[in-house]
Formats: sequence, C-alpha cells, structure tokens
Amino acid sequence: MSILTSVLTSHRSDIGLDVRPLSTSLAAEVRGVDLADISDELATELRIAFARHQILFFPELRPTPDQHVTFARLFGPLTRPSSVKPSVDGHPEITEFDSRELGEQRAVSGYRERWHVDITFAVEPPGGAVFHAVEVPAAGGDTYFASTQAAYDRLSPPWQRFLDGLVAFHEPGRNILAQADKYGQPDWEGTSVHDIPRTEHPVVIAHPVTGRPGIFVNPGFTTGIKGFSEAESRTVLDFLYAHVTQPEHTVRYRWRNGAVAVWDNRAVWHRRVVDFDELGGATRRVQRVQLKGDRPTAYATGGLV
Amino acid sequence: MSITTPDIELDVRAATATVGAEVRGVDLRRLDDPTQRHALRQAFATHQVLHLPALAPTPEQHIELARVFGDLTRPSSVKPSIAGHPEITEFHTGAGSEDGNGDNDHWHVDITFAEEPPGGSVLHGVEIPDVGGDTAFASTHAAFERLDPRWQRFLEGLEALHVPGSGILAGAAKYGLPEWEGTSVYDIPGTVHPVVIEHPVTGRKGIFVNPGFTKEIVGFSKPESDAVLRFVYAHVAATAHTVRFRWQPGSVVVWDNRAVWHQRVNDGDASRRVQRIQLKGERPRAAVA
Repeated sequence: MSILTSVLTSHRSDIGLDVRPLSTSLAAEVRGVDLADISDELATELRIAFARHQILFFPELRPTPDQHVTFARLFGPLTRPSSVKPSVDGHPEITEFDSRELGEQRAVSGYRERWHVDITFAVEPPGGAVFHAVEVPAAGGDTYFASTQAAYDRLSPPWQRFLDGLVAFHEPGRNILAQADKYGQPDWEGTSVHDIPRTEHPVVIAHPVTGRPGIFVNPGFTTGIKGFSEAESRTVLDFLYAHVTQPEHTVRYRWRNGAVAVWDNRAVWHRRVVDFDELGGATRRVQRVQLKGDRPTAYATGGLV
Repeated sequence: MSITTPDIELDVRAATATVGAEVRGVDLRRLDDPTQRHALRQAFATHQVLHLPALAPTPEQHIELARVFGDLTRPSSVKPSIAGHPEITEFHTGAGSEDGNGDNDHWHVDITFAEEPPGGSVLHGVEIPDVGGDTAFASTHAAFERLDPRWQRFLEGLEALHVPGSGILAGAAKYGLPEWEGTSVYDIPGTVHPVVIEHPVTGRKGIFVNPGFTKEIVGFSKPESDAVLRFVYAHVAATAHTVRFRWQPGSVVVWDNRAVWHQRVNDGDASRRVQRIQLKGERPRAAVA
C-alpha cells in the first residue's frame, strides 16, 4: 500500500508543510500552517497527511472559532459537534467540554473515563473530530490515542479472518443517556439517542478513503458480538481491548493552549487521562467540531483493498 | 437401552444428557460373546465414558475386558507395570502411597505430548475410599458442538503444541522408565496436533487441546494464544459438558481419550489405588471443515 511507505519519514514539503510522525503506528505533528493563508495545494497535502497518519496535531494553531470551523472543513463536510451537548453561542458547529462540568458529572454518575470511539452507537458515526485545546492545565489532561489499523495489521492471519466475519452491537450506554437528559438535546443525525436501541457495525471495517482494515469495536459503546454467547463475545472483546491498547499501537499527546488535533474516528480510539483535580484549581477547556461520517463498511465484504 | 443375549442382559443408562453412562450386567466370564462385545463397543461410541460399577475383575479379566474396546498399548509413559502384567500400571494416592498426591487432579487428556496418544483408558478401582476421589469427565465433542459456527471455523483452522510438563518429566526421573511407543519422553520436545479433531470411529468433531499438556497455538502471539486457550478451557469444563462418577470398590471406568478430558477430584487423603490399561491410539486427524 503506497500510502504507507513514507510513514516513518519526517517530511517538509515544497510549500513548507512540516510533518513529523510521532510513532510508527499513528499520528504526526504538523507545522507550517498559516490559518490566514491556506492554499488548495496545502489543503491537499493536509488531507494526504491525515490519511497517512490518522491523527494530525498542530501544536500552536490558536484558531478563532470561525477559523476552527473553516479549518475543519478542509478535511470534509461537518456534522453536529455532539449527540447530546448544545453548541457554543453563535457557532452551531462547535461544542465545548469543560473539565469542571465533566468532574461534576463524574461525581454524580460515577462515570469512569475509558477508551472509546465517538458515537459508534449511531448508524453513521462521525468521520472524525477537529479538536481545539483552548485552555489546558500546566500538567495533566493528556489524551491517549490508539491505532485500530496497526492493531489489525499486527494480528496473526487466523485471528484476522475470524474477526473479518463478525458483526458487533453498539449502544449509547448510561453515560450518554444521562447527558441527553441533562442537556435536553439528544439528537444525532435527526434521531434522538433515546430512539437508537442498538446499532450493528462490522468488527473489521475498510477505511472509506484508504481501504485499510481496522478494528471497529470499542470499550465505550460496543456491547457484544452478534450471535455469540456472552463468553464467546467477552473473549473476543477482552482480547481486542487489550490488544488495541498495547503501547506499540498508541501515542499520548500533551496539549498546549491553542493546539489543534484532527483525528480519524474510523481509525483511532481515544481517551482522556484524568490525572488532575477537575473540581479544584486547574481547568481543561476544549472545543470540538466533528466531520461527517459514512456508515462503516465491512472489510471482508465491501472494502477497497 | 437393554441388550439381551441368552444369559446376558446389559443395562446401559446415560448418566447425563451429554456424556457418560452406567453399564450393569457385564458378564466377565463371557467377554468373548459377540453380542456383549458389540453392545459394549456401541455403548462406548455413544457415551465416550462408561462406568461399570463394582465389577471387580481379576487382572486377566481386566486385560480381556480392555481388549473388547481395542488393541492395547503401554499403560503409562513413565510408570512401570505391576508384577506379571506388563499391560497394567497402578496409581496409588493418599495415605501410605508412593505416588504422593499424584499429578492427575487437574483437567487433562493422557499423553497428548506424544504423536500417537493413547486412544483410551480402562481403569479398575482396586481400593476406593468410602467417600472422595471421584473422577470427572468433560466432553470435547459436546463443547465443540455448542460453539457458534464462526468459533468452530476459527478453531478448525488452528494447530497447537503439546509438551510433556514438569509432572511427566518428574515422573520419568522418579521411575526411570521414560518411554512411550519406543521414544523416551525426554526426546519428545513437543508434538503439534490439530485443535479440532475428527473421532476415528464416530467422525464426531471434538476439541483436542487440554490444560495438562497444551502449551500454545502454533503461530500465535502469547496474548492471541492465551485468549483462545483460556476461553476453550472454561468452555469445555462448563458444567453442562461434564459428568462425575463416584467409584465403588471394583468399579471399572472406560474413557475415550479422543473425546473427553478427565480429572481426579482431590478431596481427601484416604488411600486410593486404581489400575490402568491403555488402548492404543492413532495420530489425531484434523476435522475437515
């Protein structure tokens, strides 16, 4: 697959885009973007880098809300920024997550942060997120990302073939439903999250752009393998959850104020590191725009190879 | 099921809906009777484990009874035979025993580290405690049949490495007779068998890995292998796939080493002596998917 051949190389293009991989599995830091002047050529290079690395970090982009939205559109059409939270004033494309609010929610519901992929309980989960770290603690509040594509590549062929034939159930879960009640805006692509009982997705999907296979179950929303007994299902999911989160499939990113990340929701898991007192001194405030996604397609039956 | 021939009435009663039967009415003086032989073999193929309560065979009758179920092989890969009967070895556990606690109180299948594991065992309970020391069996056939078809196909494509464990090697060192089918157990680094085999008589498919001797799935990373083996071990040992026989003095138990796991229930330290004959097996054949 030619798109993978240059993954390991840091690269500065003729028009000044500087792309430095952060691991052999996923993610790159990108410099050389001027929000006031993004040419078509640069936009194309950004989209290629995104397909290659699945996550791009822009350490000091500091976008205004308008620039955040405009920048996100470079990577595709947008959808709503959340299935349950309202948008920020004046910008329907943006929602905000504030650590104080999350801390209160956690204190009330007992919710514990875990690895997940956004909104996979929907028929068409978002294709990705464009994430702006507006204000972050001096230390703490990093985010972990894991490559579901590298994880798939590093399975032995019998496990790959076994997984290729499976379908999993995804459900919103208590935390999403509690938030839907709290914010009173439980809508995703025209359907209330209360009306999404259970969605089926292939366990291995083909990436819609690159065709690369990736594992598409996650600890946040996957509730079982279709047709399997509880033990059969648990065995597969527990194994995959441990496998995807092996250190060699992950990166951990330390944010700075003004950093922007673009991640591919079809190719990575993510989870916040809650290592600071959310109800005390430090604040972590981030704003999210989401890219519209397609219905995931099975690698075995319909993917581009 | 009741099979009658003049003077012989064999009473075969399934012990569970899955595996195992109790067989009464065996006439040890008429083991050459074709009808009785046929009935015993039929019951064995159907139930995979037969308990013949309080039969109390002489060593010669024990051997003759074992031959009803097939050709014999050596009774152990490490232990010597009893005096005068090379086909028979004895396991003595509990009070006053030389074997100490034994190495059989965990789920296993005999001698799967060899290329040709024994096809079965015919065990005679010579000295049985009043209570305790049962033997439990788990059906690898039922376990396979009760998997989702996608798990079945996955497992059918796999092979596993079986090795003599520390218990076997310790036994070999202790008894100085480390031989199986002409090869010292020290010279068996391990044998690869299919994870799912086809039974040579009935054609039923069964899972052929076991916690006693299976080391890993060939070609898998350790986490990949552990996930499969842990799941299969819990699944085979599920209560719905098992039977447990309480010995009576003189009981004979016959089991099919290609179709069941077994373990001694180690729940007491009273003296328990059992004598074993083994049926010759063949190289396990992969199930054709």
